[in-house]
Amino acid sequence: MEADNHKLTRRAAIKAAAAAALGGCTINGRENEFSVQPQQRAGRAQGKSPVAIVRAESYADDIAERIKKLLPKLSLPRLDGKTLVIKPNMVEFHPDKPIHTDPAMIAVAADIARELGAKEVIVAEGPGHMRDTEFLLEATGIGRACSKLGLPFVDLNLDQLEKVENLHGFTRLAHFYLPKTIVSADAILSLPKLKTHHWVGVTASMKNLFGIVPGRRYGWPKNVLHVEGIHRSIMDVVRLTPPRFAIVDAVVAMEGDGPVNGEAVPAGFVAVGSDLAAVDATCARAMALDPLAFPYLRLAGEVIGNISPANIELAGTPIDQITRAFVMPVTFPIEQLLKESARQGS
Amino acid sequence: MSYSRLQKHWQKAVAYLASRCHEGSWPYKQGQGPSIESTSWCAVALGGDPALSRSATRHLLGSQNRDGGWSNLASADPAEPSDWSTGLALLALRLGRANLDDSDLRRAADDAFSRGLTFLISNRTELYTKPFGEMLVYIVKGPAALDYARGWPWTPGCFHWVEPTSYALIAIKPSSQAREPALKDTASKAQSFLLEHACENGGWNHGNNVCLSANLPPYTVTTAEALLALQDLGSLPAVLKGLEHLQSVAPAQRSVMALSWCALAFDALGQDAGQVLEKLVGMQRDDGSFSDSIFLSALATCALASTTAGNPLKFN
Repeated sequence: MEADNHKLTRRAAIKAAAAAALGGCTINGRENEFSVQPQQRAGRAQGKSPVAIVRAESYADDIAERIKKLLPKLSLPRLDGKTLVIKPNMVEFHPDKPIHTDPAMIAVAADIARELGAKEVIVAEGPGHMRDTEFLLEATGIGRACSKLGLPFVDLNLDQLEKVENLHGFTRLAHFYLPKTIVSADAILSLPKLKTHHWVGVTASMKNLFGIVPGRRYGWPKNVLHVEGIHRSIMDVVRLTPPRFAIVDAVVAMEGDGPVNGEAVPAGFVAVGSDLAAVDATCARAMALDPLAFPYLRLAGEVIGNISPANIELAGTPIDQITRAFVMPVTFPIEQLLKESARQGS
Repeated sequence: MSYSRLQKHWQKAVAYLASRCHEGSWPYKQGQGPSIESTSWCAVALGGDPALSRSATRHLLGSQNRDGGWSNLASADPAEPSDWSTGLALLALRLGRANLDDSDLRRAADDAFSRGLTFLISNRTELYTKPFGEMLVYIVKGPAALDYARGWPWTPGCFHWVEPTSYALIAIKPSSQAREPALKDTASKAQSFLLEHACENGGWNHGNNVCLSANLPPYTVTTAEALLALQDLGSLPAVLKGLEHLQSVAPAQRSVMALSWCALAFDALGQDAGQVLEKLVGMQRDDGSFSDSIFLSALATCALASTTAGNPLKFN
């Protein structure tokens, strides 16, 4: 099996090298250096960023109560009288792969939202690969969780659209069309599944927001976000629809060929915080990864918030108690393979 | 299921869709602005109603962009390039033509259809930039390398994918202009793209059949869509394997979208769609709809039509 993998890797590497030989003449020919303007740093989180790590061996654990105990240390925004949109990850479904946010986490997020005073809670997602949202809601169990909790679900892919100017964006897109549910929400909660990702290394609370971009305009997959550069696109989407906070589902996470073809890993924790850069950097460290190794996390450290451990105040379970080395996708030792990302949907 | 029972369900669905029409257009959901996709599917589903068909045609003509295509926004935006919904608008125009007794409107629709075809021919995925990328490929690999399979992107400047390519092929293959060399070549390259992107064990996903050397699994909806686009190539192994896959997963389907596409594909490929239609009619609501989504109700209505008024997606 190992020999097979090496063979496949070599073959893929040869193909990538051939593609690289034509680099600059393909539609994925964008350079990968970021020049950050002062206006792009304007919304960056200031001061230190608290992030809670909540140990959870199982979804049956009382995760919401454990988070509530840490709320005083987290400085999460109050949501009194506000409408909160919970954005889980429901990009695709496979019965043997932890691709989507576990449905138990919907109840956790709704509980925390109510604790923070939210008047109305909506669950919303624009699945990135499959058009059949009705199927995904049933197969993932997220539909049943919403029904049980009395929470409305909005398919962001087919929502009414609002044109939003992409001022000082990192991509070439002058504007995005975004779902009205998102644009008019008082607050957004990013509720991702923690996974390795073969194009960006780690996907957590920021990359999860690709699901906000509506399929009715951008398709299934939302390929323009890859063509424009995934790292740049993540920054634009986070800056245009800044979530108030994130709860990352890493009770069971994904390692290897994520975000859809990896393997389950019992990481056993949930990460919570209002600075998404700090939350995602902390998740990377819990995967025994250096956030600085990943361009979008480096960029997030400049324009979204803190990624340096010196500026992140951890609460809850000590990070060394939950840190485990995740198996990384084949793309990371072979960076030329990353050039394939524009033509790939996931 | 008896023909008369299916017909009753179909008529109820048709009445529901007709009641949701607003000046020839339909939104995805009640209360929203119009969408080209929803309007196109409703127009296809209501093809037997000449007045609604004319009204939908007028809406489509009014929302055609200057580049000849359509964009799936609520209202036309001159600054916006056209997108994947062009294939669906062309499908609706092609099928609606039979209902146009007004010769001026028919001429306008024919002209819009031709301009839409021109948009499709000139807005396929280009894997290499012009002129330098193409020149380099020409020098390194020879002219044959530039004659590659290519379909359509969701949005301009992106890669090709199974769904927009299938929509466009379903729209253009049976058209009277399909024999013209440029369109014939375009369709041929697009179906090559589909055939090259079939999953290892049959069927299609969104277009990534292989990613980083891993074979990825097919999806139900995209498999049915690709089969409809390739229905005239029913003896090809990829089509046979795709059909076999669809037949294996169809009994487990429970969504309006999957059941509708399965029924349409089975019917077009001469297979029995009875079981999926039985499930589908079981999902119909009292008001005739199948979902809060008008677009999905339109798809279901098209599926029911396959055994009543005739499958609108079947090539003659």
